[in-house]
Amino acid sequence: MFVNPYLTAKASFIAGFKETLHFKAVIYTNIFTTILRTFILISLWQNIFHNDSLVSYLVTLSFLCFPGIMPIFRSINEHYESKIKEGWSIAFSKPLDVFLFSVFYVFGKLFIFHVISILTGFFILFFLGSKINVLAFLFAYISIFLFEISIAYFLSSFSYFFYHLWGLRVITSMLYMMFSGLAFPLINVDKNLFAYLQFFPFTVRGHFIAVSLLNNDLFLLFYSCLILLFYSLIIFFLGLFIHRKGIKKFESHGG
Amino acid sequence: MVREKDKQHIIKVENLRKTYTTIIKPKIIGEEKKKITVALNDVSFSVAEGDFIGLLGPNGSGKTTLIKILTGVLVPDTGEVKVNNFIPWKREKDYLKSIGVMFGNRTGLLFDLPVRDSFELNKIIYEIDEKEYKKRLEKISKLLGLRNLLDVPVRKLSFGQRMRAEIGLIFLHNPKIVFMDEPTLGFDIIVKSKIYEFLKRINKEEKTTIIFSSHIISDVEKLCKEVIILNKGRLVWNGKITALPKIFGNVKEISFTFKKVKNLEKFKVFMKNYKPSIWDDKVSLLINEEKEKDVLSQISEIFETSSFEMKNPDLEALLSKIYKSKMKISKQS
Repeated sequence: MFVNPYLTAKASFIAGFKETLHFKAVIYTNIFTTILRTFILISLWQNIFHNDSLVSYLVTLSFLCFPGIMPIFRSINEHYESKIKEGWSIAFSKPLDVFLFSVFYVFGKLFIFHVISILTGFFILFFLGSKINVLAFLFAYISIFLFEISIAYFLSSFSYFFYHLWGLRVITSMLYMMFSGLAFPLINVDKNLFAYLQFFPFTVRGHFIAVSLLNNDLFLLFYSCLILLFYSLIIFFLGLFIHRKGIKKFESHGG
Repeated sequence: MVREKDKQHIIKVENLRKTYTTIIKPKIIGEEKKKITVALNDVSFSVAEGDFIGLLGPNGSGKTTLIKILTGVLVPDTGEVKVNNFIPWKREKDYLKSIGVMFGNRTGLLFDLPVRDSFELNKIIYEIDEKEYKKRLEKISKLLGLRNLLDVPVRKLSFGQRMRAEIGLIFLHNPKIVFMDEPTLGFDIIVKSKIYEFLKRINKEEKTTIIFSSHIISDVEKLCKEVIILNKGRLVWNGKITALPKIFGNVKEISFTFKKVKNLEKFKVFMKNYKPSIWDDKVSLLINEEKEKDVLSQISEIFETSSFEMKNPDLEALLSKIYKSKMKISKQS
């Protein structure tokens, strides 16, 4: 129906990337905040936990699994929501897949931040003595990205019906923080509880992927990514269902 | 309707109807009420290829709804629409590639990036090859005076510059049909004349069909030979703009200023019968020539006038008469 998805992705990625390059301050801020995070978080964790393996775990989570501090879904969701609300007449009268545009535009914008954060993470882990397989990490990163895209798509579908999605974004971020291990480490959580948590998407997306990367447990990594993919598909199709309803509403009301 | 037999119809609209349903919620408890607003009612017209059509009407007359239906954003309740042999709301790729859409209050430019980046993005979206892109960009930049603006971020442009870039962007892929909804909103005279010149030239050279919606009559008068006039969702006129005054017959516009009202009772009857427009002490009304004597005698009886003028009405006065009344002059010319 639309133009070549590869070309759309490429063009929107370049546009987003150029936008970051255009604002030099954004790059400096990214570098500065990463350095701050490195010092503040590591000194904090070392003082609280007195445990290097726990620090490695938290570094993997914070710098590799959540490279932009904020989950990626927030930025994609904010961008696509604005496209739906403000730019319905403009964006949707073009032969363009607007969601694909939003995803890669945001990816382009966040690219430098992610690269800085991931490289810093690898650097710290190297000093802490933890080795992570780069290919395994790339595989995990793609799975995480797909999961985030589906969450963003699902949340965006509500913008046809609600004026503000801020609340939904906050609730989802809270779930991320609480169950991914980012707010407090899940390493010492009771094993019985893990029986349930191992199927919870936010825990898989954060804790399980971090642990499998740290332990070089490729089976656990593959299993976690499979669960994430399963959730991504379900959430995406749910989003698609609500989107179709929303588009019907817009077609009759004008948006 | 066949206005020019040798031309092919690119837009065909038949018995188009569109309603909006608003749900009115009770303040505390009670039943929800549905309010149905008829945005377009029984609208039929056709547009020939290469025409420059003005879409006129007061606020809320259905202009934007009509453009949204023609661009595939909205789906009508009933009626048939074919634009360039496509049903717009199916949003087929080839259809979307053949149209250009501009909504005066929305932007298609990437706000934080230089203008050139928005053009390059559209180059990919509309699958324009490199050679054609360079040629089009050169032509558009020259005609709209964008050469020095291409590398300036959109947010740093003045309103006029931004709108010129916006117009250039919708013509980049050489669309067959361009829909412009209130594009001249907030323009000064210099920007307007530059854009008028560009639109006229593109329409003439590339035979692009342009549907230009506006509530500013002078804009449409300068650009379009033919107009579609909508009022309260109904099509009231579709034809040559110059033919419009003739429909009214021998209509005169009377305007005068008064010092005081001499007879209040007769004043009320006069107001009811002729519905004149009054601003402070200035009164203006349109009358048929046959009633001229009667009206003049009434004015002298009711008002103590200080100045008086009678002339042939301009288009604006005629349109305001159409807008105020429920008249339906002609479905098609």
